[in-house]
Amino acid sequence: MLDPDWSVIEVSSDPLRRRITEALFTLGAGGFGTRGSVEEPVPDSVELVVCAGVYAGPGPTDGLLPCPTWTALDIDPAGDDEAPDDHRVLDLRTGVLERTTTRADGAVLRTLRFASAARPGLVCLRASGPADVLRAGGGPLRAPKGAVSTSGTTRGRQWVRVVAPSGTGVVALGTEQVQLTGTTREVSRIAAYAPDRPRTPGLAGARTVFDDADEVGIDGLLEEHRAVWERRWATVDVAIPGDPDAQLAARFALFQLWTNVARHDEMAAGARGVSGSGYSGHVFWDADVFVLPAMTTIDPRAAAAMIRYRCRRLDAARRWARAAGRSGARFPWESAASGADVTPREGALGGQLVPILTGVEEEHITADVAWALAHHHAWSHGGAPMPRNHRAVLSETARYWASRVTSDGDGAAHIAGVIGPDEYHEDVDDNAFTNGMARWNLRAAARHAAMSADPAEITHWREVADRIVDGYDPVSGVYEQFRGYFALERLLVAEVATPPVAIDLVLGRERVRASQLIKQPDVLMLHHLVPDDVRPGSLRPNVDFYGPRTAHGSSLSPAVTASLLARAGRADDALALFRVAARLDLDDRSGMTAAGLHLANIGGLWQCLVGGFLGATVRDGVLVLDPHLPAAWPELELRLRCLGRRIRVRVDRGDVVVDSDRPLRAGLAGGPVLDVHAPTELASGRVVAIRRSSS
Amino acid sequence: MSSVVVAIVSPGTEATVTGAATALAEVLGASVRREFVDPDAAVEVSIARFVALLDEPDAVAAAVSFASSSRELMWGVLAGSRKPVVVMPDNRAKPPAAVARALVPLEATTTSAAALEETLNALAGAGVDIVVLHVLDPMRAPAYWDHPGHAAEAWVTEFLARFCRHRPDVRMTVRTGAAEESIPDVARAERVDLVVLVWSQRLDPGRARIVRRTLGSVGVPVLLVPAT
Repeated sequence: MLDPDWSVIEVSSDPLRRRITEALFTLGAGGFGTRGSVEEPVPDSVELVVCAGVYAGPGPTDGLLPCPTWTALDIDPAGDDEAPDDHRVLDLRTGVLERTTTRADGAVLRTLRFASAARPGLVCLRASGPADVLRAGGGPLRAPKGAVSTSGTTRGRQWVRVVAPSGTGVVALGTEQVQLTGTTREVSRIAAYAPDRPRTPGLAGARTVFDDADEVGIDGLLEEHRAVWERRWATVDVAIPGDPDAQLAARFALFQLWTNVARHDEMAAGARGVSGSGYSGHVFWDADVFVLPAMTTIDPRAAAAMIRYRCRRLDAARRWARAAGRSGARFPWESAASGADVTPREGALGGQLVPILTGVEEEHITADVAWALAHHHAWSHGGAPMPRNHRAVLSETARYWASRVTSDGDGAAHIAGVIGPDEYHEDVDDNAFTNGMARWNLRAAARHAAMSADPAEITHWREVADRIVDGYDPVSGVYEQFRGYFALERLLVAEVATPPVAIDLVLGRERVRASQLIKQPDVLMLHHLVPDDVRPGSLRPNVDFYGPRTAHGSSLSPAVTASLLARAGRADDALALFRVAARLDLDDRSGMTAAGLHLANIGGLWQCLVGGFLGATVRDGVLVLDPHLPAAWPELELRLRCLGRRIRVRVDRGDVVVDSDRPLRAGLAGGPVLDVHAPTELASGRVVAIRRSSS
Repeated sequence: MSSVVVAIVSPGTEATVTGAATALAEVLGASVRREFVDPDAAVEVSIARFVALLDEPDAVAAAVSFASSSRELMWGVLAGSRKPVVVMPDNRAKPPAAVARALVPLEATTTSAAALEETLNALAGAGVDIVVLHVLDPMRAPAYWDHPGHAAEAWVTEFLARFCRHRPDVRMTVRTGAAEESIPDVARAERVDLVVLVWSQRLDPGRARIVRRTLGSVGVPVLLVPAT
């Protein structure tokens, strides 16, 4: 029985739409992702299995290594004049993708597949149909086209290994059972995946993942898998009564965050996750600033795995800093397996070839990485001491900034020649976001430094931080995005086009560069990330100033802007942008969803619900709420993880109600802190109702 | 049944029209049949005659010259033909000995893509180097262009998948601005022998702007493919 609150349904057999649904219907667990390609060969299909962090090579364009595939079936092709009725349903509640294809002659083919959430790395497929349509043969696994692969059988199971030139690779191990009952054939397939590294041979790893899956069988494995998803949704979920579209989009976001990022050892979260080959699988600030805060509230162990990816590449960041003649550690704008910079040096804006300067100048990522681990620590561990390897990242990034600033004759500290989040303006000086994040980084490192740290260095960090300029204008309450920005042509997006729009394509780079038009929030990212480090009361004037200048030409922009608008008290405007973000992939608004899901947007969408509409922050181990609901939402309920607790927050016009499975300190912004006492089960938790005086 | 390219020859254009027809016929695996314009016939009668000829099953395309004294006749044939017509823009243009490289400006519409599919197949089958050009209209720019180092590849891949289906053997060039200005630029830069344009066959004022401008500027034969 289809539940529209939980189902993403595709009824089109349009092969062009299929490229998009391949990304939307990605299934995954444990870092392995399988695109939702149909089972039969289709021209232009991008059937793909990838493993996060396993790349085809070290170059800027190498991308994730294509792994053996497991979903292809030998299906008799329908004739050109008999387009089948094709019905595909992704059940978000259970993590199962089902398909029913009815042909013109009435023949029905059914498939069901899932990537086991209970046994990450294990995947299952069951198909049934008329024997003359669903043919036997092919085996459970196929090597990807053009791959360097080896294959064989062991203990009756097929294995296929793909190897990158570096020697790393992936091994898949699979079995298939084919049963003929009358004229109906049923194919059952189970496969296990494991990374293949010199010290951890993949075949042994795949055997471990496979374990007793044969004996458990697909029905048993499906039961385990559903149980995990049931637990997930019992812990993290969203309810938006009266707005089923927004609710479904938010659940889709949660589903794909679990699918693409929920891995607990080390997670290299690429800009498109494991849902496609776009952006070469590279890790950007998208991971640290957009995805990680979401995962902290969804699956804290996955967020910790993302931090582990950064911590283990601290040496590479140190080398990158040294290469630039600096101290400490500088994280690269784009990174892959080794942690070295893999940012391309040229690209194209529409048809115009352009140099890419982000690898050289978009330095704020160094502070973003530090922010991510501090944010995760605050949300997950409150006031507990920070682990030593996390403190090392904070200290080394602070050393980088201390060596990066220059001082003028008045003693003010500057950072010259950077690109902020607004990539329309390159090579600028004193970008407010970069400077603000560097200042935050220095102070955070000083705050978290171990007792054994050099007191003189800590004092130096604080002193440098205090001297960094931030472009704040006390008269208007607006931060100047970079030195000279206010003198640029005053041009508003509405005078040119309707956002979201890649306005640099409309006007050309030079015109945009000479104007105040911006790609995405830049100054306002300070208000988003470090609201306690900006001038009190500066959110609204900066939202009012920069909002009309923001083209949202980056997919990162709408969701985070929606969050800022909600916090600024403009909840209805926030909802309008939330809807833009919610449909970005579902409606292929970028025209590029086929290359993979826009994971930062998806993370930003959840952040907008938590940090924007709920107004949730954690300060000194206290959950602080400042909800702002749009008129169309009389009620919003979120379940999430916070401070090691499973909590539920329900907001309506009058009340804010908090549940927690363990003791929790919570309050409304500006109000008293209350104790949510100690029930052991969320369902039976004592409810603390916080009545808002303004309602 | 053998297929033919109908060379519509008016006085003074025999060499260029026959040359263009021959080059196209080689691509299409067809022969050339010359049909001469009767200078004494009324234009409407000539148009009807040639359109009827092109409706015959063996006619796969036609060739005309705009150096002809009767442009009205040529526009009439172009607007009425349900088959592609290669146009020699003027007497300065020389027909290629063979079509080695073709420029195919393509809008992001399934209608254009469908109209071109057969022609693209024929060009590719004949080993022609195909350069697809898409000119981004600034007023219909994509909503998002996240990172120029990666977005272009993703966008081009999607464009080719959607609008050049099953043709992995084409190259793509993207420009921004006005199509009628980019087409001659790219045609010259790529040294193409043929430009292929899908058009609506509507000649009322304000229509066929790109076709008119292209015919007047590229200096190589232009194959006009009806959109429906």
